[in-house]
Amino acid sequence: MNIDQFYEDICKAIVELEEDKAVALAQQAIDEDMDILEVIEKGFGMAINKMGQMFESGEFFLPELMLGGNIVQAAMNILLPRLKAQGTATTLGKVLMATIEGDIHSIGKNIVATMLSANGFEVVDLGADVPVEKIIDEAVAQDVNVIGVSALLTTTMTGQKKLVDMLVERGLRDRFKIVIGGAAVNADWASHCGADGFGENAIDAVRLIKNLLAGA
Amino acid sequence: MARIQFRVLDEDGVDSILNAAKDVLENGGCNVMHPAALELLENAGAIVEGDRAKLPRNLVERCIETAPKGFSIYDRSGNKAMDLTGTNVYYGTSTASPKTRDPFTGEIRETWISDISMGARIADALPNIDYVMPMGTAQDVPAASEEMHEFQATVTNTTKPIVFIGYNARGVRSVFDMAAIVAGGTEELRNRPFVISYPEPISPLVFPGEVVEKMLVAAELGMPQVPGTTVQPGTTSPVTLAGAVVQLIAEGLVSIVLIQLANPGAPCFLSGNLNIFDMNTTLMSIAAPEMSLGIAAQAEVARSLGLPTWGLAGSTDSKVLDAQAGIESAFSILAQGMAGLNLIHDLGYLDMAMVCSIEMLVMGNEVAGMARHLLKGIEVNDDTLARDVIKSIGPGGNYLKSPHTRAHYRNELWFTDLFTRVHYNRWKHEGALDLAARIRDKIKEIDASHVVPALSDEILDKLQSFIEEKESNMA
Repeated sequence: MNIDQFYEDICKAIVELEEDKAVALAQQAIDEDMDILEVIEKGFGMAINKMGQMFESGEFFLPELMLGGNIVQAAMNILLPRLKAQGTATTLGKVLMATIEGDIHSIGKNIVATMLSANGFEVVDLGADVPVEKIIDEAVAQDVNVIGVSALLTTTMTGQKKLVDMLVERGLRDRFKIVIGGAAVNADWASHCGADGFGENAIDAVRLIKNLLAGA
Repeated sequence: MARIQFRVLDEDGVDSILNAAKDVLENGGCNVMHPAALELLENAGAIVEGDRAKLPRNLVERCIETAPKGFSIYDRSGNKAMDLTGTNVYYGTSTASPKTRDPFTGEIRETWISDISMGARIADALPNIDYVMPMGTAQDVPAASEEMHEFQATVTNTTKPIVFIGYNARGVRSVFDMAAIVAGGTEELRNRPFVISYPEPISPLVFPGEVVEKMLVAAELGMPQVPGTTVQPGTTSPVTLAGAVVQLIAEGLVSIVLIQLANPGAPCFLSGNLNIFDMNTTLMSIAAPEMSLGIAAQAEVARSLGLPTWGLAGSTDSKVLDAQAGIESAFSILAQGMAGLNLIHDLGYLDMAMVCSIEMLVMGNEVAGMARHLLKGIEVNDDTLARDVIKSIGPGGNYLKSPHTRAHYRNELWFTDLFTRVHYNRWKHEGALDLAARIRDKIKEIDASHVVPALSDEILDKLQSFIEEKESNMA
């Protein structure tokens, strides 16, 4: 079997949004005892890059990206247990996601969470209306690398600052990268809060987190 | 066919206007300054005295009868491009102004033949521009052969249908001869016409010899034409819009009578323009709300007879691409789209039609896209009602990953690459460009990348020799 062709097939199945095919190829990789890390990096990595390009060029919009992300996750669910069993690192990093307390708007946060998963991050999603204390406790307990907090309302955006302040108070600030998002959030607000950055949309958020962890 | 539509007149209104127009023609008449046409009219039963011809009702009705009830127009390659029936809406460019706003420098200067080439090429790339008129009257070619040069510049730079003003009968004939070269013969052109002639008689009710001759030439060739007088309520027509429309219909009917008597069955519109004379500035506006109202009413009368209709939208009185330009362009494009006008021209006029502007055309293309999206209305069926989808996603869920979303969103939602919808930060980072600046960038991009399929060398040579031969005969 031509292994490069196999990676091409994975990429093709995903960008053509054919879930059954992508899952079957993942299963084939397990059955034939291939190098799973390489299958993920080359096959799925190629697909994720390709989807990014298709989004930039306007061939893919958010629904295709989300669906593509789902397909990648479905295939990963087959591949990851094998990697874990081998004791290999399986993610680019662990990101805790939440919408801040007092705010039940979750669509933006959910989109970012899906995009992060599809790009190889492990996502812990605490949902919406999450108290700052709980966010910090979970971040510590689950040993995440990044905390992402969303707030739609100007009245709840203050919670984003409260999170950073409380992390500083507890001496935990340097342990996590903190990224924030939401309709009214901008770079000025992010720096005012003392966060590490903000994403202007889901794609930008993934890029931001990759850069933050690469620089860490 | 547009689902969303507005009506100006009820059935009684349409009947009253049509009756009044026939009465005007029968008992008032029109001036036809063309002896052969007068003879044609007289032989058909018109009362002729000097230049004045009174057209009996039954003559007018007979000619309405023989005029085709809608027809198709093709593109340069012979593919069907426009079905001119019912409330099908098509948008086209502005035309014939002596000045052009240079899209790159912003300078308003004389129109050059290169502007007409570029206007056609940009229009060719714009998805909501369905047909092209030469965007301007070129000041850098010999006046006697202008329309030939303008047609050459247009037909080599777009495959879309072309509507043109011949400056005289010889010019009209020449353009149709050139169109026949492109189509591969006169018969081919007649079977699949991609060119429409636009003769403009004068309000009130004056048909100059040269204009009549243009109509007769096109009729004799069996070529489609869209005759258009321009009424200005209070100056060249009654100030009441009902009266203005009566006169517009009467004038349109005279053109139909002339064309049908010359060649029964020749394709033509029942058409005309209504512009507003500003009693304060004493100049003509090309963007007033009552303009769209009157044109819509005129078209309702024409449509009641099954005849194709003509509109005028996407123009501005403003001198620059500002908020006034945007408002006036959008208002008329939407209003006339909702009126279901078949052939809506003049997307791209600036400064009360004195200036053709490719920037205005690009803006009009975007507005036409929005208008078209609205005209589609809302489709209601089991699939679009999405009851099961709503139930399965459930409270608090989201629809982004739903196959239903993916199946429909590109059709249900309207997309823009001209209006800004990016985050403020990105907008600022990318230069804080306003719409006018983004339009200029888009024109540059189209100019650099859009390729119009070339005509064969043989056809190009024939067109060039045709012009050279005609010009040497004139000399």
